[in-house]
Amino acid sequence: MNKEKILEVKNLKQHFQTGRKSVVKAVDGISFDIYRGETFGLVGESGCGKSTTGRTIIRLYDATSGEVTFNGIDVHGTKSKKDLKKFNRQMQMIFQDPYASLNPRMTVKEIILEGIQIHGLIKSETEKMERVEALLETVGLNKEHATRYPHEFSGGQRQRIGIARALAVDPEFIIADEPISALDVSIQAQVVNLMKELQEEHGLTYLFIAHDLSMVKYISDRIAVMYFGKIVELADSEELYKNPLHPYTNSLLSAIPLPDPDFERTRERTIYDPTQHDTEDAEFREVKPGHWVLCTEEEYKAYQDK
Amino acid sequence: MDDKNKQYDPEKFKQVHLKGDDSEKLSRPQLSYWKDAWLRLGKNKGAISGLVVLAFIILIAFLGPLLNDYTFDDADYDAAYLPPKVQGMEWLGLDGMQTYEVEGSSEQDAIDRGLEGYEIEEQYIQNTEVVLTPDESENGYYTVAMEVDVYAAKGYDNEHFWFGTDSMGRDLWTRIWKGTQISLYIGFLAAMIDMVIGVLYGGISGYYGGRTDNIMQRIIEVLSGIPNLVVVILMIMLLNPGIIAITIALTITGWIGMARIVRGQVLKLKNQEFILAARSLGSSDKRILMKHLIPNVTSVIIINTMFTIPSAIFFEAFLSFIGLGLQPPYASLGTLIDTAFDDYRVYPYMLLFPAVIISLLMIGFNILADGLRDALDPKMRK
Repeated sequence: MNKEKILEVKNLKQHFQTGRKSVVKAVDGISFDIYRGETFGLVGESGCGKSTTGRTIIRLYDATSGEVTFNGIDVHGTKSKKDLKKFNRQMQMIFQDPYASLNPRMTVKEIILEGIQIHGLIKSETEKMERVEALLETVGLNKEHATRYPHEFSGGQRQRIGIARALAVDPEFIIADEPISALDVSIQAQVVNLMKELQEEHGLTYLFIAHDLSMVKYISDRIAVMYFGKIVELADSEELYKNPLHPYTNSLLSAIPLPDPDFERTRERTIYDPTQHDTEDAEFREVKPGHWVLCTEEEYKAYQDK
Repeated sequence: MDDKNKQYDPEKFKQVHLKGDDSEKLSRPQLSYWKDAWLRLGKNKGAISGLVVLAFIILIAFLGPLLNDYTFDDADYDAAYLPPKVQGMEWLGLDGMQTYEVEGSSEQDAIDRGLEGYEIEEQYIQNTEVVLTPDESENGYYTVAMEVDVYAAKGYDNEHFWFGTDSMGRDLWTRIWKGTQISLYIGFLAAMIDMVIGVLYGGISGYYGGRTDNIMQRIIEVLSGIPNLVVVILMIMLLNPGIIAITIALTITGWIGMARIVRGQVLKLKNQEFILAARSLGSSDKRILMKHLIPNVTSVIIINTMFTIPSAIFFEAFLSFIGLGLQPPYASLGTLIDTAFDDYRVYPYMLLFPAVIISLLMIGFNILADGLRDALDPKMRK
C-alpha cells in the first residue's frame, strides 16, 4: 500500500469544562496516522470520545492541545480564511443521525449544493443541476428527488443524501461518524458498500467511526480501539481480530454475536476491568510492527512473547 | 366470518415486481412546506372560520368608512345620541327607535317628565309601557319604558346612522371602523417590531451562547422585572399619547417573549447535525443563521407573532380604557368602549358594536394562531 500520510494526529486532547472545577476529558492525548487511500476504523463504547475525536479533527471543536496535520498543514494552526476554505473542501464528514443531519427546510438540491455555493465552485444554474443529478446518481438516488424535502425519504436514502452532500466538494478525506448505526440492518450493508465503491472511484480516505465491530472489520484496513478518551490498541484489522492484546479489545471482540446457535450457547463474554492492570504508567508502545498497545513496561514484554 | 368459503382467485391478483429503480420511487405528491401547511390549515374548520372573520373585519375596517358620507370627526350636537338605523333592517331592531326609562308618580307624569328631560315632543312617542308599578319598585314611583322615534324628533328623518351617533353627534359606523383600523395598525406594528427585535436578540443570544448569552439574558431579566404597566405609563407620559407613543410603549418590553422563544429554539437547533454539517462545509455564521436557523424557527416566529397581535390590540384597548390611549378626535376600539361605557345603560348600542368587534378580533386571531401552530408543526404530519 502507498504509505503516504494524509493525516497525522499527535497527542490530541479535547477537554470540556462542564463546571467551575469539573472537566470532562473526552479525548485525552491520542496519536495516530492515517495513510492516503485507507480506511481507518475507530471503535469503542458509547461516550469514549470517538465522535469528539472526529469533530475535533474537522475543527468543529477547537482542540485543547495537540496537533492535527492534514496534508502537511497544521489544521488547528491555520487561521486564514483561504486556508480554512481549502481545508473545508478537502475534509468532509458524514453524520450519524440521518434524521438530524439534513435541514428539514431545504430541498435535496439545496442541501447538496450548499458546499458548492459556499465555495462558489459552479456558477451556472444548468451546471449546478447537472452536478446535483450526477451526485444523486452516484449515491443511487433518482434525479427526480432533487426537488423533494428530506422528510420524504427513508433513513438509508437520507444517509445517501448526506454522502452526496459531502462528495459535492470533491473531498480527499471523509470522516464517517457512525454513518450506519442509526440505520436499519438491511440498509447498513447498502450504505457501507456504497462507501466502499466511492472510495475506489474517488480515491477517498476514510476515518470510519463506529461501535459495530463486525462492520468496522469489514470496511477498515486498520482499526484503533478507544477507551475513555485514549486509544488502547491500534493494528491492522486482521491482526487485531486474530491477535488482540489489550484486555479491553479482548472484551469487545468477545461481545460480537455470530448467527450460530451452538457458538452463542457456549460463548463466554470477557468483562474488562480497568483495575486488573496498571493504567497510570501505561504508554503507547509498538509491540509488533504496526501493532500498538497502551501498556506498561511489564505488559509490553509479556505481549511481545505472545 | 366464514373464510373457508372464500376461494383464492388468481385472476384477481397481479404479481408486482420491485425493480432496482422503483424501490427508490416516492409516491407522495410533491409539496413544498408552505403548501403542505396550507392544506393542513384548510382542514381545520376553526382556523378557517377565524381567518374568514378576520378577513371580513379587516376588509370592512378599510371599506366601511367609505360607504357613507359621514366623517369620523364631524361633530353635530343636534344629532347626538341617535340610535342605530339601517335601511331595510328595521325588523332587526335597527330602526332608529330609542327606549327611555322614565320615572314619575303616575304613568302620565313619568311620560311628561321624560319628554321634558329629553326635549322631545309628544307626537314622536311610538309606544309606552309600564315596567314597574309603585308596588313593585323600591321608591314608590312608576317606571315607564317610552319608545321614541328620535330621528323624527330631532329632524333627521332622512339620515341613517348605521351604528348610531355618539354624545357629539359623530357617526359611530365611521368612527368604529376608523378605530378598528387604528387598533389593527397598532397591533400589527407592535407585533412586527416585537418580531424583528425579538428574533435578532434571541437569535444572537442563542447562537453565540456563552458570555454573550449570559449578559443578554441578564438584561432581559432586568427588563422583565420592571412592572410592564409602569414602563408603559412612563413612556406615554414622556411621549404624549398617540399611535407612535403607544406602539413604542407596547414594544419596549413586548419583544422579550419572542426573544426567549427564539433563543430556546436556536439553542435546540444549533447543535443539530445539519448545522455541524454546514459548518464543516465552511458556512459563515451569517449563512448558518439566515439559511439554517431562521428558516427552522419561522413557524415558531409566525405562531408567536399571531398571538402577539391580539394581545397588543387588547393592551392598547386596556390603556385607552384607563385613559392613557389616543386623544380625541382620534379613536381606537379601546377609546370608543371607554366613552361608551359612561352611558351604556341608556345607549347600549354605543358599547355593543366596538365590544363585539374587539371580541371577534381577539377570538379570530387566537383561533387562527392555534390552527397555524398545528398546521406548521411538521410532526403533525399523518
